[in-house]
Amino acid sequence: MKVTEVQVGLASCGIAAGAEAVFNQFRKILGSKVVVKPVGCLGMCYNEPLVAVITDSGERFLYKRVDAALAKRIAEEHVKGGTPLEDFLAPDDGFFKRQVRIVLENCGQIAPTSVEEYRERGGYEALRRAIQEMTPQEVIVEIQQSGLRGRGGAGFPTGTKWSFAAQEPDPVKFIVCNADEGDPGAFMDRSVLEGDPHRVLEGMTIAGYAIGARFGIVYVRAEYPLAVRRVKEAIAAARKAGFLGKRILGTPFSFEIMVKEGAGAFVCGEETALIASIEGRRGMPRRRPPYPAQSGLWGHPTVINNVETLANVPWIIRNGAEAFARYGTEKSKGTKVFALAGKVRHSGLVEIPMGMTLEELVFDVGGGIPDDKEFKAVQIGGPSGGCVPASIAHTPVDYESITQTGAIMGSGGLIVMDEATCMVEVARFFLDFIQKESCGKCTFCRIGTKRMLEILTRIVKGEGKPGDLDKLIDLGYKVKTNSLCGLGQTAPNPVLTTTRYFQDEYEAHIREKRCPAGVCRALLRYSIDPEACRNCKLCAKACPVGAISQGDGPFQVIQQEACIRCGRCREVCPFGAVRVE
Amino acid sequence: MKLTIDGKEVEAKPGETILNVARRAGIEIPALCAEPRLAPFDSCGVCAVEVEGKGVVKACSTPVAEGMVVLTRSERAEEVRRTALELLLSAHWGDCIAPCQLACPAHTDCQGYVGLTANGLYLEALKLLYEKLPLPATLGRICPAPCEEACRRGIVDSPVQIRRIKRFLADLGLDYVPPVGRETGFRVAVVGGGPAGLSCAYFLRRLGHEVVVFEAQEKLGGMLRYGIPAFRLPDEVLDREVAVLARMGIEFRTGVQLGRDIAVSELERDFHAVFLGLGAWKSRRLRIPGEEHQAVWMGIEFLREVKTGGTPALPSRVVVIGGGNTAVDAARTARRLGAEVTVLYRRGREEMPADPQEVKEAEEEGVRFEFLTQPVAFLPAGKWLQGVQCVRMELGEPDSSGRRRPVPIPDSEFLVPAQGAIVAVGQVPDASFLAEEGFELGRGGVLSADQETGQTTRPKVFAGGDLVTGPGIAVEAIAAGRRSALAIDRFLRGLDPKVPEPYVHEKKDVQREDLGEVEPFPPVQPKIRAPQKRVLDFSPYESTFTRKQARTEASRCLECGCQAAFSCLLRDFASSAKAQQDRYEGEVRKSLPDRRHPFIVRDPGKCILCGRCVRVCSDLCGIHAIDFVKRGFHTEVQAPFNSAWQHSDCVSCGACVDACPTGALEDRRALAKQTPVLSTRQESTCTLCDLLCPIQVESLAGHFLRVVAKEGEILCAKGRYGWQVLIGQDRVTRPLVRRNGRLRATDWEEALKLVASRLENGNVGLWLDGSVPQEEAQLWARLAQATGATKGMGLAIDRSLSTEQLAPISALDEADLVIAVGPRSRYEGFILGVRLRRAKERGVRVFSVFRGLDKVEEVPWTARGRKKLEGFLKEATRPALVFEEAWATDRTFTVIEELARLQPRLSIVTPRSNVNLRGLLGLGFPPGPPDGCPSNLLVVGHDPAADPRGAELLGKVKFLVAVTPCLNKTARLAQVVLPMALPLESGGTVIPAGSEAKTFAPTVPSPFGVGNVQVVRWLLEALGEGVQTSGTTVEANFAAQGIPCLKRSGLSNLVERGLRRKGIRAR
Repeated sequence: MKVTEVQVGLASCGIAAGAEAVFNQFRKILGSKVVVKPVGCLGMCYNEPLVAVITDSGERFLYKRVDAALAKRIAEEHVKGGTPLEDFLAPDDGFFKRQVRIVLENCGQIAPTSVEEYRERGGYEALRRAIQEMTPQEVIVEIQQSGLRGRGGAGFPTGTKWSFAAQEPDPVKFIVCNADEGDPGAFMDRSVLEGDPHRVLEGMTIAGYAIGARFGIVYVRAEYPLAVRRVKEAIAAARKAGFLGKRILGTPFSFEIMVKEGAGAFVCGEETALIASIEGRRGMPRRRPPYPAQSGLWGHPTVINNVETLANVPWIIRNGAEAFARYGTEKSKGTKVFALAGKVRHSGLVEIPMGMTLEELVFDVGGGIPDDKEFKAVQIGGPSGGCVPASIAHTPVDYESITQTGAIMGSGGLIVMDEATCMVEVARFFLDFIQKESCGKCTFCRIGTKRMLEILTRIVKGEGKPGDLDKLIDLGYKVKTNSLCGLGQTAPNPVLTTTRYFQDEYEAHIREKRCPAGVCRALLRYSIDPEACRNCKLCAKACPVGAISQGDGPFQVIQQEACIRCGRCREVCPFGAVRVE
Repeated sequence: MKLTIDGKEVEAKPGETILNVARRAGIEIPALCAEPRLAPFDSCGVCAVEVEGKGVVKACSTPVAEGMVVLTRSERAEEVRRTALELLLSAHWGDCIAPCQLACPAHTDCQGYVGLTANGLYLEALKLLYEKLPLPATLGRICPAPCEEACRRGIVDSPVQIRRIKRFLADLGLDYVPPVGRETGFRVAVVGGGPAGLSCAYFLRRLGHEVVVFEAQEKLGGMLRYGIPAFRLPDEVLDREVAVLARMGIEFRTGVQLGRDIAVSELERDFHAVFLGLGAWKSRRLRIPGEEHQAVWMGIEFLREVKTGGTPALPSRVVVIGGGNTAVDAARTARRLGAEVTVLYRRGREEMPADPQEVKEAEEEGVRFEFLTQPVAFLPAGKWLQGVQCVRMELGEPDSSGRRRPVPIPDSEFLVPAQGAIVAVGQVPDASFLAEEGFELGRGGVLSADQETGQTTRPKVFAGGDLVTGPGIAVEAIAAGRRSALAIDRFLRGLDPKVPEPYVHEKKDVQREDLGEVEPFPPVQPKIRAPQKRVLDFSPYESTFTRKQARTEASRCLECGCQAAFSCLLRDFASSAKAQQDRYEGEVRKSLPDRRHPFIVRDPGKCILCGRCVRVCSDLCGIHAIDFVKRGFHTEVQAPFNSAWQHSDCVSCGACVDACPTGALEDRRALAKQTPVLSTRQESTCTLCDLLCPIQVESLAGHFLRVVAKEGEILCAKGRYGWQVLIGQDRVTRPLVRRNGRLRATDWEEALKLVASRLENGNVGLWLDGSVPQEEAQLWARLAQATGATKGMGLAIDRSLSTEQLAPISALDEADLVIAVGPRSRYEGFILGVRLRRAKERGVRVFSVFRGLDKVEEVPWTARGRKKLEGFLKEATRPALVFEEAWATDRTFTVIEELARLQPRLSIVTPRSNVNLRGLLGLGFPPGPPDGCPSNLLVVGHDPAADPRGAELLGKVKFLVAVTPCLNKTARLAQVVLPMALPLESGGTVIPAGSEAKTFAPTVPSPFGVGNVQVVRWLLEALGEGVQTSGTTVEANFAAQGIPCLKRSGLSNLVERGLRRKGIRAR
């Protein structure tokens, strides 16, 4: 069992966890004797940095949380010595068991920008087949039959969008890959671009062939420097290998791709704003219709697909629409990638078949809630998605079912919340994000969300007034129905879903000036239980504002007017005498 | 296709929006961000309409469909529209109306008349005052001025003394009688000649109704005459004010008392409506022992006795009981009758309803005040009193009036020694006889009437003033009189008497920092007699402001009210949607106005982010100097890096100002103090170059305010703001004659005689500016003929084209290919750019060689570029070339010559500032100076001395006459300077080289009262050449042979220099 290759996860997540030092350690110790390869993200963020050791028999040992010291031991003992360090292997915790990897099939497995490695795993076969064996119309039909829907969030059937653009007589058309992933906590697109960029380029090229475009643009935010670099490298490599450029694979079809870096406005993920941004104008949406597929960039038909959507395309062409359609539900086919975050054991990137329930996603794939806390809700669909409570977590992941709950599928951000999460504060947090990211164009989004945010801020500060809830909901529906673009139309979702499922929490804040989850600081009240207090005065010393003093007896007392509710006393008390309510 | 809007069937073409179709059909849909010249922007949300089956949509961006049913005013659409407006208003930082005006019960336009006073427009100020307020001289003396309390200047140092300015205007002796409306044939009876009645009568008369005022007393004025001492309001002032009302045709019947001499029912029978303004004359009593004693007077009766010439015998020590204005007036009157006076008031100083200013003056005069003192009994001592038994009070919980209720302190009785007492603790109306006539009475014996209209339970009968409200201040009664007059007018015309109120937005909670930098400036003090002197008699002790004082004081105004108050769409729509400012309260976008631009004031807090300015700038003007910056709630419109607009790509065309639907972008008017007033607009033509753009001149009573573009048009900085520069410069307003080496003002006769006597000697030259209009030029030609003068026009420049190809500007409109050759200026060049963009939209191919401001496709002047142009030139059937002569360089001419060789059919056009070029050529004025070195030279309208060659030429002249609007260099050399009116002041006809003849009307008077034609006529008369006044016919004899290129001269140059000085770049 000779070790042939060491793979180090060097996506942004791995690098952030310190994978570069690990990588350098292996390089230093192993030199050129063994292949040390940077690969993309495997998805197990909770175990980063990850190192895979591959043997000549194809066996794969996955080490978790590797640091430079451990890397040294692995290099010495396992790679050179042949003895795996059993204690440091990532356990089979079911993380991968229920996943189906289509989009992520190569992520974390290959050197991201290498055309050869990509081809070894079937890469560019789909492109070859499409342009050599199929007509553009056949490609579109194949995509339509697969049932692939837009993974950016709205779920518009991809094949149909292509067919609209294909029907336009304009000789100039564009394919745009939307990689302006802006949801806080979402990193699906980044991981794909960093881990398997060729897949996206191949998808774009096939799309270009299908609609008759000669030019593609990857619109990616400048805050993803590694993704930008990898995509650019991949473009250069693909061009060199003849998969991009003039007369691809000897056919009359030519296609070019360039990268356009966005300045990082959330709203630029909205397709009309994205077009404005590429055109050099301020990223502000406009009314649709006309849809970009009819009149997009500089007035030409433009298909805008999300990274994940395009990453599905090569697989579908390679394996056929039927193979793809075997996964998922009646109306939502294939898989969906989620960035699992929040109060869940296995935070990371997962790809599951459509139709799996949210509960299964949280517990079977995500490993459940840490610290034995109760599962309360998930926020699905990013800041403009919605909160789905645990009580209906049996909802299957498909576009229609998620929409039924008041949330949206979105691009794949999924934040798990436990009992210690205040839903009012959650709504406030997301609305705050949306308000700051509103482009400011239309009245309802610009001022309406601001007024909603002010009401929510008031409520979490304990200054809520009777009638605030009605005002909030009323304004929420007005903003939802009257805003110009998707951002404003979905902005009230977190508020509208939390007021729907957690009305009692709002009531508690407004009427009783109480935060049931114990989160809203202004509503907390710290006190010292005289029975439990041993009068050690640690709390008084720790208190930054001197709000704690000697009581009428051998115990300490907190002066409520002076208390700033920082919780230091509670942290330092060795006897658990500080109560909070 | 056909669709229905509000039940009306309308025709439309596919692709049109609901908004455009509705507008064409005359159905107005409110819309803020929709600008007719631009594509829909879809941001404000105000144009919400309901489409059956589709719900509420935005009319501006929704295309029509066959059979569509649109409801513009459905409940759901209105709800969305109102919400959009209320959201916008919730973030809006501005005052529609200044706080002073809002605080005035009569809503007198304080900022308006104060501002007009500051500008020296006194008559206009007085007219404005009379719009809301009869009796200004009276109110100017006695009003407690709630306006001043609200004045924001008070946050900085002390309020503007609005009341004293009012008094100044009223006392100026302008002999103004407000206009009376067309007679309606309705007759209205007004009972009571006090402030309420007089006010109601005044406004009814202004509306054209016949009015008869019935007054019980001998003279008019009511409480003003009988309740206010002469040292505050002398009878003569009131008489003067009543005389104005009489001159308006109001009939007065004095000595007629309602209930005694006539009954309401009679009036109802004889008149179409009745107004009751009887006041509150019955003194309220203390109801304590001894009140009936002869040494105890009632306040109002006491004052009336003194005012009607009586001199009540007062003892040496008197107490006055009460804390209102009547108490203070009684105290000061008693003081003037020689008594020592103490005022007893049961609450504290803070709670006194009397005007603090008067309390202060009373104290100066030696009146003492005892607070928290309540009399419980008058202790008689024969003819006089021994004293007043009092009890000390303390303040308890607030009562219904919001003031703290006085509570007696037990066992605190004490004696205030005094021989006499005046009780002035309020008055009540005496309306019992009205109750007998079937009217309903309210609490305190007042007459019940509708608060807004004054309508009583008997529909024909209205009432107002103290009779309805109990005692109030005069201006409240005047306000009530006006409200009822408007309500009666509507009632007479068969309408609902309630007058719809416009929306008023207010800045709430204004702090010092919200006012920005304000120079502290102490209030102006009028002359006031010393207290020791003034207590000796009853004559008024305060002088009216002098003109200088009034202007200085008025200039302290902070200009709070919005300049766009009369034109703001946001306000209009908020009014019609009945929107409220604070339905969605929250953070407001506070800001200070940006006054860095010399002509444009930006007030970002008023911006509603409709983006009209941004889009007009980029899409129509092709400039893109401004755009949105920041995100979310704090999004705003800015030039790059928040620079002053004129320092960005901005060309100061002002198109953004015209596009702004609110007051966020406003032009500075040609006034020292910016005053929002209703102005007039007149169509005219900008004659600063021969593009001859249509303009509108905004003026106020003959005073130039500004120029705006004709609707849908765009001007350059010269056309827009140049006139302001020209009119506002140091003008020559009288003829000047050189004596002892210095120019001195003289009269027309002397100046004209002097000029005529020299011209008669012969050897005369006449050198006209190329922009002098035809009417004047024909007379000048006549003068040249009479004096045998040689003629010339403007100054030729060194480089000129061989000009067979020069074509009229209209060639641009017919061309199928246009090539622009740079460099191009920010003035004419900018307007050409706008025209090129329009041509491009029509499908014309447009290219540019050497960049201009416009972003038309630039072709590099290389072999390849030339080839490209050659190709297009060969294909084109009507190719045109445009360049700007005044800025042309050698390179420009090389390009033009080369292109002309490539395509001989090329029409070459250029804008020129010599707008009457063709006309003057036809009249025999050749370009260049007059031939033959004339020793007597008249220079009209231009400034040859500004050019070295011209100066050299002038050096040889013995007698130089400059006819000029301002003291330019030539004028400084001249022996005689005659004033010249500007084209906007004089009017005329011009026949430019580049387009058709154009006649334009004078819009504002010249500073010397006459137009230029008159000046030439006078000169001809002085020469013995009488001119028939039957007018001049304008003829164009255009010699078709070449015209040399002419340099900019005269006004155009002057304007450019002025704009540059102001900080607006030429290129």
